[in-house]
Amino acid sequence: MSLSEQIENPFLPEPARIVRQYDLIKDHRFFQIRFIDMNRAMSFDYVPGQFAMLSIPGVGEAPFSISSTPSRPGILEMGIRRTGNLTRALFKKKDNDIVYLRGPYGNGFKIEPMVERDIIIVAGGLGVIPLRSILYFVLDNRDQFDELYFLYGARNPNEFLFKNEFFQIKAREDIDCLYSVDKDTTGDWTENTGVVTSLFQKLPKIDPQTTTAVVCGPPIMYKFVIKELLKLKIPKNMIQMTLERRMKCGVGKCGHCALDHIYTCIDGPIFTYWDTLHFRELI
Amino acid sequence: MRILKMKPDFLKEFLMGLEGFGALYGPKRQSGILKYAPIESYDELVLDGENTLLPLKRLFHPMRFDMFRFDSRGFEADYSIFEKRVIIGVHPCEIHGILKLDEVFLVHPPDPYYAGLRKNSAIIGFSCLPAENALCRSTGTDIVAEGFDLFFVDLTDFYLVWVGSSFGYDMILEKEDFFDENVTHEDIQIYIEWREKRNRMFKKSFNFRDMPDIIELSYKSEIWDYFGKKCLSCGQCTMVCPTCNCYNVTDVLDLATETSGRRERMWDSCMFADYSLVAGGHNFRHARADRLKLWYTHKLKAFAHKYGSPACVGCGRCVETCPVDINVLTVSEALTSCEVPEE
Amino acid sequence: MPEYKPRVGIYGFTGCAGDQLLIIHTEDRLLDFFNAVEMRSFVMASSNPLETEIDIAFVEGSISTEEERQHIKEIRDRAGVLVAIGNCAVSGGPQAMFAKDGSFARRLKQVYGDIKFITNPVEGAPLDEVVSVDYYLPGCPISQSQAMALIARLIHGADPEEFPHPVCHECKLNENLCLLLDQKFCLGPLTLGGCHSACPNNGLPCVGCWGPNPDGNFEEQLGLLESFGIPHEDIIRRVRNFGGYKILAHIEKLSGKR
Ligand SMILES: Cc1cc2nc3c(=O)[nH]c(=O)nc-3n(C[C@H](O)[C@H](O)[C@H](O)COP(=O)(O)OP(=O)(O)OC[C@H]3O[C@@H](n4cnc5c(N)ncnc54)[C@H](O)[C@@H]3O)c2cc1C
Ligand code: SF4
Ligand code: SF4
Ligand code: SF4
Ligand code: SF4
Ligand code: FES
Repeated sequence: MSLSEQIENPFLPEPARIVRQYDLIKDHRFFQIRFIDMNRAMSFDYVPGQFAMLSIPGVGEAPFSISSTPSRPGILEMGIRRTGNLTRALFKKKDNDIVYLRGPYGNGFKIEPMVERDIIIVAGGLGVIPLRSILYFVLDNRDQFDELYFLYGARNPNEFLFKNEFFQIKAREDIDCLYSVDKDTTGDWTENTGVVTSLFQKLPKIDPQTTTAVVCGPPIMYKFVIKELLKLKIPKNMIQMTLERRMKCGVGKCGHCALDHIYTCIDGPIFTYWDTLHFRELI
Repeated sequence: MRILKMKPDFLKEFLMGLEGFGALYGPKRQSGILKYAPIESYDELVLDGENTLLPLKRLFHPMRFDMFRFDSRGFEADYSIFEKRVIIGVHPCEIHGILKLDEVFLVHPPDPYYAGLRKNSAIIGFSCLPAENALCRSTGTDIVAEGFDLFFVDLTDFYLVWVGSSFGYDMILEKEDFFDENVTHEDIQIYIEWREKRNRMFKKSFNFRDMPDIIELSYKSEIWDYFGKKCLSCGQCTMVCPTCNCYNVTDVLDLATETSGRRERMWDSCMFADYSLVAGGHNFRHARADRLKLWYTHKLKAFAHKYGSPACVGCGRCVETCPVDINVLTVSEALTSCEVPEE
Repeated sequence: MPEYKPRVGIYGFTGCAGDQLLIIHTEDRLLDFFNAVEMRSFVMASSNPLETEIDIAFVEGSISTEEERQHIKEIRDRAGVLVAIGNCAVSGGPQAMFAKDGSFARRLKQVYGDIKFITNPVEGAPLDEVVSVDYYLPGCPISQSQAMALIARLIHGADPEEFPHPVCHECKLNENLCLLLDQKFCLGPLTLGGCHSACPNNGLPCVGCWGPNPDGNFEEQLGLLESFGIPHEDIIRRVRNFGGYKILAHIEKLSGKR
């Protein structure tokens, strides 16, 4: 056996196939990716809120949230924004092209405290990509959880991600979907207008003792959303949020995601609001 | 742990005889600079209290190396950096430094490169007398109880040799007759006197014990702005510190073919501006003061994982290296006294 | 599938032509390079350049004449990607050490008093004063490994990676003792790395030929060097020597302070 077979290498990216991809909105694309090794494709187990490192040889590697749910194994889904070198190269890939993945990494959402409770999911902009995973996870295991509220705000109708899917879900009886755009630039927007926090007024009465919340969005959004959740008296440790830092390794070695004295790639990217009060610089 | 005695006359033959266990490395002067490098002859070895410019981490977490080769078939790990080595002349603070790095690189999942280099290397520690800027007594890293295969304490007339591993014991067995099991009361007395003498030789110290609290309390202190204004962001402090582990990864393509190349890993520094830049150009730590604050939090408050201990092992390299005198001494003093250093 | 080879042109303007020579002389890799691309125009290598549309233009030298201005604009129009190579093309080079002096001289005088500069300025401008530049390969001369890494990425359709760190980064990896500790006139912290710290490796201070490090702490370094007894005007002159146009923003930072 050669050295490279003997040694387990957590940095080794494994080949995976882009089975399908399409644009969500301008510069944002949806990817369905499957490990070439069939066993790996089926055994890749993860928790909503975790992420994977995606490589394109010669260009580099970067972290992306897994947007699919582990309750539907086999294919990993990611929603990716074109921002720089790696993502530009990724957007040039076609169906059936090969990329490389390793993971899953990060702590993921704590599911247990959500079981048999009411859940409020609050997403702003791109933040809906990781939250889509927990959303579908809850829907796929619907009887495990109580009321489900899904609040999603985008800047304008053209930046509203997963429009078809989310409007389909809206028709379901077992979920309360509240959507808004900051500004209706198209004139045919049928949902709410206003920032995502304005949706809180539309929520029915919440029992804070039986409710948990998950939040993801741009940094400025957190402050306002947290304020609303605290107004509802939801306990601080029952608010989970995902935070982005620069990451190079995903496994607590490279130091890039360091913050105060923790590594967000292993201790995060999901933190409770309570955690953020204890660590400096978290938001 | 066993402790043996050895006559100084045997040192050269014993050390050079270790070649059978691996390539010999140790502190060696090259163009006037002390570096850990392959040792060809005993005379090259520098076994006193002087610090090497770069710490021992360079042998376990190399400055720059290839992690993978890739081509159209995918990635293949490159383990060509592995080599059986015996590293001679390692000071206590250096061993503590490596034990700190173990907490990062060997915890699950272990970094295979670091782990491989670690597994293939024997460490022969050597006692030292404190150098000008040694701070290890303040940080409690002036002596070691683990992390070596053999440890030599130089008591002038003889060496006391701690055997720290079975591998170390195998080395002893090679030259069994050099060693004497019979450590007398008198020998112990000499050792204790040496320890006391050494303790008295430290010229500098700082309040390491109270620093976690002080750092926490000083989060908003304007002292950080004072240092932030001075810092050149040259990154030297992070390179020379034995417990800095940060690295960056870059792919380098071959010229000839489109699909082949290598994935390179290279030391990075949290003192550089692009270090915490995230998508959209948002930088969580742009101000120099904030970069320094993160560094000193790691060194003096807590390191790498929740509730870990501070990382500084008191080697004094930051004191010797920073061109504008930002180091654990000046920073801890300024934070403790709430006064900036005099120019 | 027949492999598409990117069409490449290499051009030289006012400068020492050392950088192009360097590419030619990288013999072990030269064949790889020529095999991977379709060389359309190589002002030095071939006497008969084909002036057609190209994917990548490597351009060396600064722009000093109206003719050159027209020529670089014309190259820009034909090139998909334009790379400035060498200090002259990137920053204007020593020719630009008095960059934008017309309006600048007055300010300079206000700020620094009467300073005599040694050479007679020839007005030279970096490429990006005239056209847009996609990538930069700074240095005088450029570094082989940095050039090859960038070229490999470009010809294989990947975007080049920056190295936004000071010379000190590589200087420390090369285990050099910092010259500033000996009160030597080193510009390492103010200078963009990528040269493998060529000068400090030989005990020589960095004179800044990679151009300014945007994160450099100019105020503090100036004060530090002055505290070594190096005259203010010497520091400014040296910083400007290779900093050319790129240093102006930082110099103004200094003048704003004083
Ligand atoms: C846990 C986690 C989950 C993420 N999930 C998603 C996702 O689902 N969809 C998505 O589009 N993006 C996601 N990102 C961000 C994504 O990793 C970066 O946008 C990506 O690295 C950009 O790579 P690039 O090479 O294209 O850009 P670069 O050329 O490297 O840089 C473009 C910009 O992105 C910044 N950047 C570079 N590396 C990172 C990094 N590792 N993290 C953050 N910013 C970086 C740069 O500073 C620059 O501003 C996530 C990041 C983290 C840490
Ligand atoms: S603290 Fe000193 S050594 Fe560290 S980056 Fe700043 S100037 Fe350089
Ligand atoms: S902080 Fe300074 S004294 Fe402490 S280990 Fe690092 S370089 Fe040595
Ligand atoms: S010698 Fe110059 S380049 Fe090297 S570390 Fe010191 S200042 Fe930086
Ligand atoms: S050390 Fe400075 S002057 Fe020397 S090659 Fe590098 S950037 Fe140029
Ligand atoms: S990404 Fe490397 S330590 Fe977190």
